[in-house]
Amino acid sequence: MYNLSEQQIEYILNDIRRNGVEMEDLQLNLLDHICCIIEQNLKEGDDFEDFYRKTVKQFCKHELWEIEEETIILLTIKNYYVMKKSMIISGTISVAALLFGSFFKIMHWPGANVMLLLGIGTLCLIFLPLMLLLKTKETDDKRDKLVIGAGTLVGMLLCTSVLFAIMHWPGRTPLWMTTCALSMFVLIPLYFFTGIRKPEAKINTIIVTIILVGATGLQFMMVNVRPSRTMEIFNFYANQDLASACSYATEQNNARYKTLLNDSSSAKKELNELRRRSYSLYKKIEEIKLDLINTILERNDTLVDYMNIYTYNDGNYDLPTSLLFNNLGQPNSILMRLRNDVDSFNLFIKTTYDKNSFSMINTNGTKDLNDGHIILWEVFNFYQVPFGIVLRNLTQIQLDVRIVEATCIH
Amino acid sequence: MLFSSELIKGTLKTIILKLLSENKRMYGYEITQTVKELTSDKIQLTEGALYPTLHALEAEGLLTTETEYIGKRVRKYYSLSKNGKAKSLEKVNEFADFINTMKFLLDIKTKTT
Repeated sequence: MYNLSEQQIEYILNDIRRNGVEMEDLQLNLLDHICCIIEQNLKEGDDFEDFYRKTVKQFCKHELWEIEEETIILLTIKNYYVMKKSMIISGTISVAALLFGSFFKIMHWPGANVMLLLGIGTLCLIFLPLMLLLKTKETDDKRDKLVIGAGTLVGMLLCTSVLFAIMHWPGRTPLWMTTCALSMFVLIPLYFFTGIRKPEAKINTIIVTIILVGATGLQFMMVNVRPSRTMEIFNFYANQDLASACSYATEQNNARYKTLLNDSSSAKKELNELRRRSYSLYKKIEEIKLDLINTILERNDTLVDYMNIYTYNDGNYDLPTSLLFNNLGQPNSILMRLRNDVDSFNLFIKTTYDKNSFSMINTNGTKDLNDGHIILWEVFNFYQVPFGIVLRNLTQIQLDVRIVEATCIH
Repeated sequence: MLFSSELIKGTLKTIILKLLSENKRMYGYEITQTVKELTSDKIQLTEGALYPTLHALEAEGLLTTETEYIGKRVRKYYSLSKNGKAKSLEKVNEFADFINTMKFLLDIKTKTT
């Protein structure tokens, strides 16, 4: 039995590596195998290198790396089926979750967002990457792989954009724009110029390109074309005018307070309480407006500014509603607090100044003109109401505060 | 006579599984030598076919492995997993059935010609 030296073993291992065998497991297997053959068959005094070369030559047709290639092929065939199965399962789950999620969303049932999140997440993180892997494996053409890669990326971005839009997360508009731009200027040209070169795919490429351009164009329009700009601009002016009326009333009331507080005969304690309560309610409403504007228009304003409120068109009615109402269409804490504040303001006016209900802020429901049932104050003023009008109704309450205040001090 | 590699390729998994079911654990070189001895040199497994198949069987969960250091180098021993034992039986039966069918098929052919 031949005795291999450490240098010789090292030499064999290096040669295996040099010949393109990269899997460590396979390297060690081959090393042991070759060593065994040499130990069994090489006689002392024979040429080691010469014998080694002859041995390795018998291993495969040409080069050692073929063994690794064959191993990888056998291993991936196994993975291929697992991947394909996972792709089908994840696809089915995401389609089901998306279908149910959208239905629940329309019905305002709880759990809609979780399902949509699950559906889009599965689609983006499992289905599309698996599809990318499987599809790129099916083709050897580098250009085809590039098209598949770009397509997957646009698909993932599209899903993410939809998710951001439904969840009203900040950054949704730039995300839509990026998706549109990437689709229009990268994916479609890449797809078109790759396909048009192949005679057998020419017609198909042209048709699919037209469909893709159309779809991207429609998607772009959905985000950027407003249904009624005139209405939004009208709301902008209405808000501006109401706000001016508010500041005028505030100024007048302040001047009146000054006179009254200088007058020794007036009830100073009551006056100060009225002033404090009016200011507090007015300010709370101002804060709600600022919050809505910053959230919906993705701004960071510190003062309410009606400028450009008509640029908002992202599910016009839905976003303010989703911020002010919960999943079941019930007013959420913002509106509840507002309602409580207005009611306690009314109570104070009634008990202190003995005013009748016509002189107070109206929080009664409104009768439906069709069937006569009473629509809640919150629902009538804020539910599924365009953003501009939500702001206008809030400003109207502020003006009402000033008017009620004025009737008490004049 | 040495059998062609095409014939061996289709039966390699069966050969390996059967050998391992009769020997507790074996390493690559040992497998080639055993096959060579048992078949009086008629079947010689090439390394280019043996190792990819061993890796594939391991990935399928039919084989378990343990490694041992022989001086400076590592030797990987293969043995059947629980699934592998069942699979070995299945493969051997399938192949026996195949041989019978082939026999029948080839007999008819020789009769008709």
